[in-house]
Amino acid sequence: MPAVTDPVQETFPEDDRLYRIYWGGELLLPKPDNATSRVRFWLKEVDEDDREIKESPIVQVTESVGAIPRLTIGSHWRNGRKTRPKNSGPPRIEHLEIVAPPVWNIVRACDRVPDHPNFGGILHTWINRSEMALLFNTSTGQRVRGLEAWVVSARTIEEKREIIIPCYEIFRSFFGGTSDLSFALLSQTWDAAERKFIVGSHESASENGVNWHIDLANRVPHCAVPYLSWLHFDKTARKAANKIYAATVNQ
Amino acid sequence: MTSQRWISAAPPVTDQTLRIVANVVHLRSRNALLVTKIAGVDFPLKVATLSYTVDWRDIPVSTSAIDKVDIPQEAIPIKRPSTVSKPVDRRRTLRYFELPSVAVKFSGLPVPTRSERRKRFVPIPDQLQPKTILQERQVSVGASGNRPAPTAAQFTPEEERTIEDRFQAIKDLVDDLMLEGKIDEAIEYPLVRPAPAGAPTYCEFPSSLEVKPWPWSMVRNPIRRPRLALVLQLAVKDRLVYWIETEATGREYYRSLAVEMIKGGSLDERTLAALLDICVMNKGIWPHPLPLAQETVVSVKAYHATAKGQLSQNFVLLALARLESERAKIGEKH
Repeated sequence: MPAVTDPVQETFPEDDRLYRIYWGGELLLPKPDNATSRVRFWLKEVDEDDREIKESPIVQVTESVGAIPRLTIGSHWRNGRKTRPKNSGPPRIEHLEIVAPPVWNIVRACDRVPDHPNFGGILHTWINRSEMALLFNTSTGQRVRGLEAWVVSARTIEEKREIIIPCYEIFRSFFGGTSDLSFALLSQTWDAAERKFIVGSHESASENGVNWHIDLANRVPHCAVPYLSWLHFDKTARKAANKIYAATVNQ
Repeated sequence: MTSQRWISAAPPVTDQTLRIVANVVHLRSRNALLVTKIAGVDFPLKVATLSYTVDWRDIPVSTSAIDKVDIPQEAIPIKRPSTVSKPVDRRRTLRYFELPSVAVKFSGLPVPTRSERRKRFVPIPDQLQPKTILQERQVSVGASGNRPAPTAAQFTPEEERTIEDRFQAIKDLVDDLMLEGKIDEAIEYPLVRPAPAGAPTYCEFPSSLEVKPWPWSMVRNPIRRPRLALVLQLAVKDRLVYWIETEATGREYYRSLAVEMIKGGSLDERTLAALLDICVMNKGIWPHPLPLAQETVVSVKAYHATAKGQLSQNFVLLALARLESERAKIGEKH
């Protein structure tokens, strides 16, 4: 098992090699020399066919939370720029219809799956180690446990197929639409952060649905409007956004 | 208990069906699908209209542009500067080149439209107050200062919508291409004269109130303001392509240009400014070849094509393919 490079890098490697973001989402609270919280990612070197180069060590990098909107698991980077392997095909894309339960099942990826008839008594974790090797020893003896990440487990409606979504990706796609929004939601609750983005709003109903209007605060980019309006007007979204800060920091 | 803190979030949808488009990896041992990237979401609520107003803003035009230009390129000119990593934290205030998540597409949600700013009675926090609040009347006259344009507040809603619909169509197209994996990334690139409308999404063409007859670079009706251009940076595999879309008024044709630096790397501020100047000199028609220093950029014009009343993806793909072949030709010469 390759060791993680040590010390942790604060920049994406600029060595002309192609890396794929293998896993990520650990939050590092601000240190004296950082202005903002940072997130840790693990990168793996791949070749132009998107095959992992096994002898190459896993690279740990941290980025400030403002960069979250751009950093997706599985994306490829070379010299700090997003790119794509030359010979690989498009990624597998699925249209998924998921049953959204009243309360989502948020678990750690390394937790045991409760008994399930299909598994014939074999003990499985939500993401098995055989699928993603995310337990490393660094040269300083620090244990890195990537599978302690929170994931959401759900099922599709038709095939009842199990879907695992990392909470990092849920945060990035549903909440962290812009740098500022990512930063705000991981620094305080949405109720407290909201007035930095929205200074006024009104909602009215019509035959075709609701009409939403928000007055953006100074310097808020208009691309944040879909995210802001959803978090502002929809009660479920507001509740979910308010939970993020406490659930992430109090662990 | 653990010393590690992991981001925890649940989807903002409960008790109904959540439809997503996602990149997935098959977990064989459990026959489950691991979602690595959510690319699209069916918006779970029925929203008829989505509108917003924009508050006053002071735009740090120079700081962001300088940061972008100052990235050391001299040592290895072909190497592209990193867009994501800096050894120190990003300054949170420097947000114009920090990017929205363009990768997630909310289908079923109406396109946000900007409406005329209403008088606002809600106080905003002290730290967010602009240093100098401009008076609306003073700005609309355009007499003082060297910026001839009125600010966003004087745009009529109808006019804004025309501009935004037009540029939004291009952005939607690019979003679709990203969903299909044909473009990796698209970001707005308002490096030169970011327009003070909404967010500095667009670049302004150079213009002056003093020049008469009115140059092409000015839009006169219903208000006088500089003409705008949408500049997008598209990452296509290893290449960086820049898409410049000019604003059209009345019966003019929309014109697009796809540009790529021959050396690779980002389009610098000076070149982009030169390109906009060339466009103005030719009254919006891109000349071919561009009268720029040799071996700076390779460019192709893109011709708009519509299918079923909508813009067709093909014209973007065709332009990208032609650009690649133009570049290959230059490579052969050397």
